[in-house]
Amino acid sequence: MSWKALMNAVVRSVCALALVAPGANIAVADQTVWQTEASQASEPIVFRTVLVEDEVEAPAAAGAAAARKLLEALGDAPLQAVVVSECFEDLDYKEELLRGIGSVIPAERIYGTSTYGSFTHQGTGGFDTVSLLGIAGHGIAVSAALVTEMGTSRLAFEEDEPLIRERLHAAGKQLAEKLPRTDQDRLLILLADAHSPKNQYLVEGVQKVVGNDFAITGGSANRNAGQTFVYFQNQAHEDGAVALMLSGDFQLALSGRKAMEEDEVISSARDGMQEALEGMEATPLSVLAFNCAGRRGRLQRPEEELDAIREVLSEEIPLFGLYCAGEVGPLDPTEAKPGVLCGGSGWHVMFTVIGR
Amino acid sequence: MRMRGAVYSLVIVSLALAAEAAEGLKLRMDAITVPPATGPLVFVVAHNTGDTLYQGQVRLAGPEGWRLTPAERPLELASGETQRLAFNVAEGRTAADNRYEFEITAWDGDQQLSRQQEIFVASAPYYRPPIDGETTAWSDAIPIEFQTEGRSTTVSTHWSRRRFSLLVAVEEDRLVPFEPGASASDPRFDAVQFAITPLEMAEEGDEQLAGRYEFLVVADPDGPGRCFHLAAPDTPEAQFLQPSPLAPREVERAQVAVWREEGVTYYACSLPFLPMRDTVRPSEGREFYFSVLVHDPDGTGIRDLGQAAGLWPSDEDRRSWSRWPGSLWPEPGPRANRVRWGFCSSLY
Repeated sequence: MSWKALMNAVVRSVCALALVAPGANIAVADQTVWQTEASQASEPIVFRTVLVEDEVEAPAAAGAAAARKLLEALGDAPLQAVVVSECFEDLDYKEELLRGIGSVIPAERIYGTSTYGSFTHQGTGGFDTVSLLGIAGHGIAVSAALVTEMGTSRLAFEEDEPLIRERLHAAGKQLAEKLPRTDQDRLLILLADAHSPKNQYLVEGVQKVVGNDFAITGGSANRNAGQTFVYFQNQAHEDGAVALMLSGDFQLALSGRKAMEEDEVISSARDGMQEALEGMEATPLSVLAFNCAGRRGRLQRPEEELDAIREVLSEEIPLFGLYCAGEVGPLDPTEAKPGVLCGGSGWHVMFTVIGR
Repeated sequence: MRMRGAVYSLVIVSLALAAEAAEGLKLRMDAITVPPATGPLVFVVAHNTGDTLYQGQVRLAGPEGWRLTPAERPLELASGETQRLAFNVAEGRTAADNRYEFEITAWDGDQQLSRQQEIFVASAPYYRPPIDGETTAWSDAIPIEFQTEGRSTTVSTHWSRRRFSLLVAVEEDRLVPFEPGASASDPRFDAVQFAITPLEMAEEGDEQLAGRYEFLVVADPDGPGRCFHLAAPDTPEAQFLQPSPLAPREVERAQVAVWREEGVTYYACSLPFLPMRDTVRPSEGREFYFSVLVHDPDGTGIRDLGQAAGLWPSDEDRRSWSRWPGSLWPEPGPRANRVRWGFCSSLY
């Protein structure tokens, strides 16, 4: 039995509830890089999302419930990875939540970030909610990498911009270099403790490796004191960044819109969703939406923005939305740089349609 | 104990807080509710006090190095109408002293009105400072300092999903603690009064009800301090304008500390958000109305944050603040409790 198969067998025995695809850390010495087996073009790709609110201050139970619900939704499709968006307050609650998720899903599959909330077709979730994106099926592969100690979490942009640029360029480059690469790589999801406008420098660092025309989306972790974490294999890390590379025989369509006033927030979400859907030439499988928490704050009813998205997005297509402290994707035309597909900014909603 | 010495050594001076043109156009700016580096919007408030339609343009110029878009906006105001005009801060920088000077220019044909106003960032960064008689933990707040008769008042706020926290630093010669037996005709003790008003209630609320959460913080000769509940959104006007005993209205689970240091009285208070959470909805980017009155009856009298923010006198003013035993209300009274405020993320 190969070491990879052995590890997978261990995972399966520990977590009998989860049907997981093969996957392993790349090397015992480096627990910050992980990948699944290569995708197979003829195999299915499945995305599902769940949103669970904890109404009784029991984060572990909420995490376990969300994980069980996700596995149920995924059915027989073998799980590749889970992306967590959660907004429980304070680390002790967050760790309890992760413990609950990890009681159902193998820890090595769990990645994500603390956010300001989430939204799916179910609705919007703010206080004490967790949303999970399940990526499953042998038709898609996932690799993941982590960098920590970026050295920028306590630096103020206005006072330390040169140092922030230098450090985040280096961190982004290191992160992208760690990621195992294949010729099937399609989308890099970047989750980082680097809020807008710092996130642009992290993206530039990643682009030094993957190129300016590679599709990148993602969001910045909740930047509030004591809340800023990214999650790698179910462990919380501060001052860090996680990259997930999705690989396989699938297509992407991306859009990004910026808005700061209530009416424009709503209309830009609708327009951005419409543009991304129109750009998808295959059957949409899922939509990722990295949205600005500040945009949400402009709305008297946050549901109105989601309603606008749902006007053009079928309920059949899973939606995984996160409210972030900075967004990565195609910048609004007012900020985009020629020849560069994606960037990091704020006040944006970034849509990625994955289709096949 | 010192707090951000550079900030506290400076003074906010309004160059023209409430600009009013002879032709009946009033102009002012709202406070900025998000730190400038994040590219917020700034708002000019225009009110037509004349009898005829005003049609013109408004141009806004920011501090040196700032770039605002659009540079100017059209303005069409019916008689008696008020509008808020948004300008995007395409480039802006945070000022250590939290003072930002703007120039508003409006013109209608050959009639031009130009006004300068200094505004501040009125925002509560996310954090739960300990209420422990120290100011050290408040160093990442965005303090607002204003002057009343040459005495300084500084207001700082923080929020989390569970608590709303306020620190008011009052420069004064002495602190007079709470006296339960004080009456309206015999004001005797110092206090900080503040109000939190959800935007929806301000715009659509029942005029016969308070439509706000209102509190009073006082020094307690026998303890760290006390916080009383003055009004809730459904408190009837007849009740909040009529002084009634404070002692039964102590806020549950409030944390309070009032102390003196180097000629300054500090009022620190942290309130549970739970009773307000459904209407105020604490989250990043949310806005609400907020204001603070400092009662210093043996010194400056009332110190009014709303006046420092450039609010115009209005019909709302009298109903904006609850009366309580021991309070003194001069004529004209303080401005309405309607300083636009925001919840923002932590600064780093």
